[in-house]
Amino acid sequence: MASKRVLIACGNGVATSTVVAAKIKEYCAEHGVDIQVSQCKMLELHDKANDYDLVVTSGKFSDPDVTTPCIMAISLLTGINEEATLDEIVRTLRAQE
Amino acid sequence: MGNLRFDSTLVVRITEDGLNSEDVERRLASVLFEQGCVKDSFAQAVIDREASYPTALDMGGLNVAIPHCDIEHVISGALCVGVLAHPVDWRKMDDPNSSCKVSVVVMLALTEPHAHLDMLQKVVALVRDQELVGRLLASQDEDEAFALVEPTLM
Repeated sequence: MASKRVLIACGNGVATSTVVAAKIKEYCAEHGVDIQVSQCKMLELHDKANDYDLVVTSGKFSDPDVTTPCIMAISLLTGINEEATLDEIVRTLRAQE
Repeated sequence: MGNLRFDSTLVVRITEDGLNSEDVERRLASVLFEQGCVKDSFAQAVIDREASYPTALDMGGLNVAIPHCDIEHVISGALCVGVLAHPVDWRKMDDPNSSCKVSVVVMLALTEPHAHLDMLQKVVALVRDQELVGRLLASQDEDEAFALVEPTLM
């Protein structure tokens, strides 16, 4: 199956999304889900999000024009309920296969 | 490239009461500026960024903020750690409409986007280690604080 495209957004697209991206890549690799990851700023989501299979953000995000599933992943920074968020990401991607 | 400077000159204990998050950001940014790590535009860029996208992480205990901004305001990559004797209200990254009390601030001066992963992961490991953050808050001076965080960050 084709690899899934995941867009990871944080305020600047500089720091936070880098940590989140690494965690998601590692977990998906362990669980046999092939992904390609891109990073951007939250402000860019409106224009970019619909080109991806999944959007992961560090903060609250809602945009009526975005139809791609969005998962908020602050847990990947704090560690609180981290496993549940990673599992949700994998389940969301597998549901599209 | 990739390595971020961090030494005892980049640890700041702030003991005053009644400060807000902007006061703390200006204090840490001035240290990074004095050390030649950032441009004079850095402080305002961090504050502006924080206004749109706040950086407090609610750890459910001793909370931490990780203010930063675009790379164009940075001269050479560095971290500055602020230890606050009096926790400061700080808006949360995951919910800008609410805030939490922050005790430790790790200000990031990054020179490349999507990089510094190793160091950023160390910062995350530090903020998750609540026992270590607690000892950091109990430290008596900058040298002691640096000695506590050095094994995790370096």
